Amino acid sequence: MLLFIARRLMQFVPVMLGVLLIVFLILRLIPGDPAAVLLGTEGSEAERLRLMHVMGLDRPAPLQFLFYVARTLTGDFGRSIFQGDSVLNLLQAAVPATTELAVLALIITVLVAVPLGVVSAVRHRSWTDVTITFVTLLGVSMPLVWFGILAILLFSQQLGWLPPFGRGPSLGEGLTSLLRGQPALLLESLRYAILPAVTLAFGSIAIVVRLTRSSMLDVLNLDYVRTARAKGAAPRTIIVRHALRNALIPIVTIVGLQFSALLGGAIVTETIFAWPGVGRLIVNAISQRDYPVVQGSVVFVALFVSLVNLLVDVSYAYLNPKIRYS
Amino acid sequence: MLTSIQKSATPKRRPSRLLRNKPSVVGAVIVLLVLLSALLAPVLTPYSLEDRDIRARFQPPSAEHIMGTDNFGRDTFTRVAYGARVSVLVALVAVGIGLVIGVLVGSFAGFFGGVVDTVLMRTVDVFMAFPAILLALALIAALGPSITSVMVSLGLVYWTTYARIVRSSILSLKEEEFVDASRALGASPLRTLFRQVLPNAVGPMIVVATVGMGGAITAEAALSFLGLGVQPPTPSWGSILNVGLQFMRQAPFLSMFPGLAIMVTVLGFNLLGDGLRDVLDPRGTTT
Repeated sequence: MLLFIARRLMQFVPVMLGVLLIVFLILRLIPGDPAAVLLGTEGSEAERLRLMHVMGLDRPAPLQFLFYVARTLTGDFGRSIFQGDSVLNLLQAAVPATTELAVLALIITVLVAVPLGVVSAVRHRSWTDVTITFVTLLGVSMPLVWFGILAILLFSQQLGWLPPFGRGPSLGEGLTSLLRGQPALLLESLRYAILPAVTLAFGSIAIVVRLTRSSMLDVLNLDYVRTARAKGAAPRTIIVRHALRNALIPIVTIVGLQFSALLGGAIVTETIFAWPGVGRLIVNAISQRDYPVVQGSVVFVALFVSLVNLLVDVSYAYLNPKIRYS
Repeated sequence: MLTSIQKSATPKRRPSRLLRNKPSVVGAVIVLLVLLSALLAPVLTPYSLEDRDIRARFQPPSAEHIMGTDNFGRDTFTRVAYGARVSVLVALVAVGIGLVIGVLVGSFAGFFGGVVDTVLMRTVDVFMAFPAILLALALIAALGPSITSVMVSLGLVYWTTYARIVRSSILSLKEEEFVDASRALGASPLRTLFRQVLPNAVGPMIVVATVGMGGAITAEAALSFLGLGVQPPTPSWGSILNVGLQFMRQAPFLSMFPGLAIMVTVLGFNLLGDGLRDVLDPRGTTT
């Protein structure tokens, strides 16, 4: 197990350096030099050269990259041009909002998708199965943006049940107040979070239903399930205790990998619902040409996703001994 | 071993197998209709893209404007029909760029193996560390938002999928006897790869490219919705959705039709891709 973790970490380091290299190279594609962009039309040539020197842009590119890696490793993600704040501070404000959204979406995905997939497999080729399969096919094809807009139109504009935009108290605050016996704050928090979280979950639900269904179908045809049936075990016991347990292994992997897709989806979801997370931070920074914020946030999200994938891999190896030795 | 099944399926029988699969016929018809409306947009609508009537803003659907009008009094049906051109064009070019890079990288990695494989596939891993849309956004931030940036950046995002699938087809194909035969006849490795091996990997490529069209159309819509894709006044399904969100109080119907257009189109490509997979990729490399 330790060997597996060590090997996986060895793969992690070059990927991280690669991520930094790609982001470094992408930002060199910007026409004009960053010092001129920063100074605008005001600056003189002397000022520009001085700023180039301060920013280290007069050094050769490989050296610039090394300094960039060193700065990132020490947690220095640069400073915003427009907000005057460090990118790390901006991220610290935005990351909890995005994480909250992604985690809620992941919970919704599992709670909805796994039971639907199981029912679809157990009632193979029935009307229930056909309906679920058809709806998931629509789900895979439906753009997230449209789902979000339709959700706002129905639940906010027509029915007036939920607020269309913005974020309420954080989920953390809601949960602490629930522990003190006051559920109102949690409900208020969920009232704002539920529409964006369901929108974000929607695409993943379709994918996880499909996978659960095929994974369950594979397992239900195996000999040991037939043996359990022959022994006269109750159908429910067979489905849950025997079949689902083994079918869960690929499901856990795909759910873990959905986290990356969810963070990508969060960029669009946050823009629809004016949710103050990393996605909105990046989209606004691109519109304002606030390059340090774009650079810092993109690197941060990529590092975060890789770290989560690493954890998924390790926990997966822990759950399934076959992986460790392959 | 299993590839013999694929090769023994005679080309003649392939189309009929596709036609017997009802969902894929539906998919093919949808794709055909979308392509037709992209081509025939000027014939389908009495309005031109420039026509605007500011007094007729936010008209609900009627006989005159079957999908209503937008915030400038422009006919939404006209914009959705012309939007099909943008969507299909962007997706075609993006998938094309992705395929070229992916096929080159995947076939070199699979065919030559060893260090070449390790270096190329680690590069794929690095690209896959980014959520797809995030990498596209970073590229657009550097290149500036435009229709060209969208095509280039989506191509640079999606090549990894193609590289992986081509690599896995090549890996199993290179164990075949005809590869040894080609080598024995004195063909250079590159000739063997491009003339003998790659043509046998075309089936899975067509499948992933078809499904990839749907993905590219969704991604273009998302980028244009964010205001970072196709720029106004060029109509794009994504940017009409953005306007629909801004004016949802005045004109809730504005978001309906572009959204429906995206969903139906993507559904078409998905159904067609599933059908093609049954016919062209019986080994299931692409699942």
